[in-house]
Amino acid sequence: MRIRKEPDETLMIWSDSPAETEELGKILGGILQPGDLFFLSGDLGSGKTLFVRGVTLGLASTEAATSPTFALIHRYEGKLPLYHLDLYRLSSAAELIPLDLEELCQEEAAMMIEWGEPAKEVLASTYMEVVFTRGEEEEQRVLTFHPEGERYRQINHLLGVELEKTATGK
Amino acid sequence: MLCLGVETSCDETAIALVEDGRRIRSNLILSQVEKHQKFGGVVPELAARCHLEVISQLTAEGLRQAGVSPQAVDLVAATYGPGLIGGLLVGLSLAKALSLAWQVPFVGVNHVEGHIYANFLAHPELEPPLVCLTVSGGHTQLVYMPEHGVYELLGQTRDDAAGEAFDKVARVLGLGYPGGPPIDRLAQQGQPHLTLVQHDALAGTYNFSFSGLKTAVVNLVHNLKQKGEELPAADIAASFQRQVVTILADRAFRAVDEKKVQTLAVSGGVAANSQLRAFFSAEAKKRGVQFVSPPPVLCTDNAAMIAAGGYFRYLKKGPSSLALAVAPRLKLD
Repeated sequence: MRIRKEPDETLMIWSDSPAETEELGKILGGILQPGDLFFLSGDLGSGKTLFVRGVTLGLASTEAATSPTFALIHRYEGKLPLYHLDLYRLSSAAELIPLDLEELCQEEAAMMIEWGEPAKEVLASTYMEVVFTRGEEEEQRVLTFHPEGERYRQINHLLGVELEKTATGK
Repeated sequence: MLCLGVETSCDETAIALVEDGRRIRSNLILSQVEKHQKFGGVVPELAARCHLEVISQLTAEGLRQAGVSPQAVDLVAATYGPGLIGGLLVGLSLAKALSLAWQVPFVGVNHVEGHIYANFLAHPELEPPLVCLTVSGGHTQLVYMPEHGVYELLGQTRDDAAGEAFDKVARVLGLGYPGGPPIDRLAQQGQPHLTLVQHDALAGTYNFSFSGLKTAVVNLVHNLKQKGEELPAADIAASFQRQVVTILADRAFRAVDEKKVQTLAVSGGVAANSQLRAFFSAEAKKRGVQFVSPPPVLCTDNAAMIAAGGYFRYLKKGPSSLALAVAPRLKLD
């Protein structure tokens, strides 16, 4: 794993394998607090669900995350409850209403949303956007953490500190 | 005992009447696939609205085709999970209302339990014990069933469902939704010579993983496109399909051995896959065990399987409470 901090406080992380993507999620799981909101975007097979699986491991959830594509929304119980959503099949913001996302956002839980474009406007104005893209190697993925708001700049800072610790083996 | 079954957990609105858990009197399925095709998958709210629009009429038509009046119905069964919450609510509410109006017991059925019971409709002599693999767009579960209404979950997917992997690979190959049938057809023109995933990380367990396989297809397609090479879509489909079938068969036949049962059942939409059927049936013959699978119409979501599952559940455990709530992530117990 290699990291780079951009001047605009964006954090770029190169993951060299699925195992590293999962590990990164696990580290993030240790940093999450109630109310944290993440949007995950990237093509099929770019590691979004695997990353969330890592987060559930980091939160010591009772179950490791599986694909939410079919059920749209999964909730995991752990040190902190986590909602994991996949909104790929929604075609408009109106279809979000029955999911009661705004109410879920008021809960003492964290939330990670894949294909979340329709939800962005109706939810909080501060969030983290994580973009998953391909790296140069077949298994490599680049995760770019774009923070919107103070809390998310803080997460990037904490994540940088944790990753440096891991890298130097402390 | 005549049971009315209601199934609305995904994109099929289905009503059926089944006698004594085995004999289908009517079996109606209204598929919404066309309505969802342009979105590449089921759109939940659209699905719930569609269910609501058609379900009362469909119930009347189901009774008419069975040639019975509402007074002939002895039991009402509906799927209460797992599935999409909006759809489940429509079916469950209808079943409860009919139970009250007709003054007959109501029973809530697990959707995967229904898939298992599709085998009992197709094979009237079938009895437990057996091992059943249910593979569909939302479910991948390997279950040991020692007797009616008793289930031991042996394994399940740790990422994508088997049918979901078909849907996503079809999306990458530009084949449309649902992905199963076009991949099945295309695979017949290809050679399964590509090794997409080197090793089976969950070998020796009863669990499944299809996400790595999906990603391997995505990577391969990406690399070929980058190089400007032509996509060997038929070979990719054949290789992908062969690997899915190999993984499913490995778990399923190992469970048959370990549980020392004589019958392996495979249900759910993916059970309609032609290569899966051929492979499982050859392997079962080799081992001298019985392989059963419902015909395609009972493999995909339907209400006859819910009526059958409901009947046997009612015999074993009695009626469900009218306070039973929908459970989108219901586990088999």
